[in-house]
Amino acid sequence: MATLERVKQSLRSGESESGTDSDIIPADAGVEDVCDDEIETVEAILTDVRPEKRGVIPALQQVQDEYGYLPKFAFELIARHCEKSLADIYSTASFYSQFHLEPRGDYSVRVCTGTACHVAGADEVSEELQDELGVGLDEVTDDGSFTIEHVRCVGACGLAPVVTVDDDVHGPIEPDDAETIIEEYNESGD
Amino acid sequence: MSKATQSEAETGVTLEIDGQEVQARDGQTILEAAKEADIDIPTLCEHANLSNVGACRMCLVEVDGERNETACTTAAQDGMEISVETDELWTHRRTMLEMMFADQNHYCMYCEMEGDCELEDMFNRAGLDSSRVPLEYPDIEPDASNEYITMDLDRCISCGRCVRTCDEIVGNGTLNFGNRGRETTIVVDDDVSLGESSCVSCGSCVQACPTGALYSPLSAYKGRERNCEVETTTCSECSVGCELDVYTNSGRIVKIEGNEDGPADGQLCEMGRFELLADGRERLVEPQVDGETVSLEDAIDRASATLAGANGVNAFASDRLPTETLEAFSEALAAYDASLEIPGAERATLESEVLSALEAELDVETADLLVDSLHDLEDSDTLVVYDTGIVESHPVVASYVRRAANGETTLVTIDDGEDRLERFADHSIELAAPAATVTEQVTDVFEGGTEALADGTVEDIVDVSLQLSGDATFVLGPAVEDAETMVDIFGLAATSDNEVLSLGPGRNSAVANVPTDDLETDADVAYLLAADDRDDDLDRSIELAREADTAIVHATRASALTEIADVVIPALDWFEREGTIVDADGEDRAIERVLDPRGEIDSDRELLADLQEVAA
Repeated sequence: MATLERVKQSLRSGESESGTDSDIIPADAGVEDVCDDEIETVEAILTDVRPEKRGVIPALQQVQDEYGYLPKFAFELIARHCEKSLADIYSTASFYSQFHLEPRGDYSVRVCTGTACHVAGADEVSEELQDELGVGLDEVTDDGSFTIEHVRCVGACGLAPVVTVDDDVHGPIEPDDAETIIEEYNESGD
Repeated sequence: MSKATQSEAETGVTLEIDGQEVQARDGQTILEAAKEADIDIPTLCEHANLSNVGACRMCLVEVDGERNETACTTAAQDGMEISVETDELWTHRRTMLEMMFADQNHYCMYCEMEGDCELEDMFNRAGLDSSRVPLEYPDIEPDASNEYITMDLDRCISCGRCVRTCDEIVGNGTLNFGNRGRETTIVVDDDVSLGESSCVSCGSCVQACPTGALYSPLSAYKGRERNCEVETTTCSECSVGCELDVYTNSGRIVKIEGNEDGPADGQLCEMGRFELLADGRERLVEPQVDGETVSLEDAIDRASATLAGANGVNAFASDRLPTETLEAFSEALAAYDASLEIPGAERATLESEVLSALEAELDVETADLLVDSLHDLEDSDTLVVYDTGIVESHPVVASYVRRAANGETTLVTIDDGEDRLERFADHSIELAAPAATVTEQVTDVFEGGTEALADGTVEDIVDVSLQLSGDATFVLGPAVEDAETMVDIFGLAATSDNEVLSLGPGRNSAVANVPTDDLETDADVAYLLAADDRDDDLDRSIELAREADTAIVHATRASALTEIADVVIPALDWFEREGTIVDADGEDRAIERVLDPRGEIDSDRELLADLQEVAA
């Protein structure tokens, strides 16, 4: 199961001081748990961010660009940089759906669940994709490649049911197409 | 400061609320004007000393018959016609209440706050007994990770009083809203439990919570607040002197709250709000001699005989005691030629020596050098804190420091250990050299400009010096003990025309006026008036008891000290004492008797007087 694997990965990365093969930093690692390189990475990002309240959202966005999600240790660094409390930073990050508090895969598979897609069978497509990847919604595959999420209307109702993978649009698709779509990215990733 | 978010009210406006003519002052909100006219507008998210946000919608009023506004955020304006008690408004309020009720798990009969709950009251006032909205039954785990504060978001209505209290009153910013939207909850730091968070356990949020979402297990299920008696007294856990509202029923203390009309806006700290309640040691009620229970007369006779026959007597008194008791102690023990020690006396004496020397040397008045009120901290352009241990020793002062630093004030912290205020500081100076050296360098730069820089002067010191030309306040923690540092700091304050808030280790600042001296090294008898001292505070008494052949202990509760005592005389507990205590500003504050004494001792003072009489 992906969740268990993630726990194991986090344990492994906790054991090693020089980092591991996994790029994923456990979501709950604090500043004292991560190596200096990671702190320097975030601090380098923050040098271009205004050290004030207005800098909070740009800081969160740029850290997420780097890691694909917002690791906990970054909250502490952003709070210090922007002179806000930890709770202020968490409050902002947890409000916007653009911010992710858990690690994400390299590819974001978004299944549209807008009305047209819902009627055209989005649920079946989603289930098939989840089976194909062996993960539930908003979980990361073992190899760190994919995350599946449900989104509201992507504005391509004529192609319902629609799935987007990063910026690519696939539709209309059948549940049986799931395997082909995933393979396409697995190959390009190799 | 106006709380109104809309256009400012004109000076001296007249408006009409439910047909009654009401006068309002410049900048007052409709709610404030109504309160002063004794008109009750319903509220939930509004609370004393906090900003208004209009979140709960209970105070919706109809303005000029054409629009609805929240009375807590709308400025009163001339000629306004306000309606509060209309059917339409109550329909709105009922709908809001039904949704609040359905959103979480409000099962009143199992709730600690039942009977004292503002949500329950509002429900009753609105004539509701059920909700049309289907219940959500959210699955919420109570957070009991903090020893003194339980957070059960089952009862939370997201009014934000705790969030605003932690931010605006305590200045700590531990609480906020997370996952705003349909799933809004209160979050602690970055979603951790209270026990592992930056929470300072002051309990101000507990006092602010209108429902049972935040409560203390120390007070839970001990009875309704509104059936309690309340006595206001002064806290003697540090020299700030916060006002305590002590709630009692059936001869016991139910809970302690900060007096919201008092000087600290209802703030207390972990010590005053919780630790005073949490003392579970066995209460001493009977005098003992050599482990046997005796009458009070016998105990005093024995104590007196031992003292009179001693080659030397070392006497120690707790600095938690009222001034009058400390004076009685001093007089009684002087009758036996004892040497006296009271914690904090040394620093207090040193301080008055330094101040009178400076008064003569620099032509300044001591009164001009000392801060008048804690609120002055917030008005300072710069705060320089020597010893951030004040976070633990004087927590309420730390709140004012944080509040100031969160505002416009520049905060400089100087510490030789861990900087407990680093998160709030603009300059955090870690002392490699003694405090005196740093201060000396700051003084040099202040007086002589940057040319006066000594080698090794850090950049921060230059910054500090430059700040001092504005309105600065120096806060001196209890760790500052040497005369040189004191002379430098007070001297710097005097030359830069600034003020000092001195927070010594002595709880009752009257220790400065009680004559004390160095203890004898070969005294064979120790008289230890430890009262309700606990934990580390007992260390010195225990040391003195061990050094002496005979130890007479005058204490409230059983402890490691009473175990090694030869004579034990019961003392009053903090809530049984009466008298005055001098706070850090030099003000006399009243200590009131909250409950009648448990034992036969009615007054520590009379007992000490008896002891003195026997000597004579």
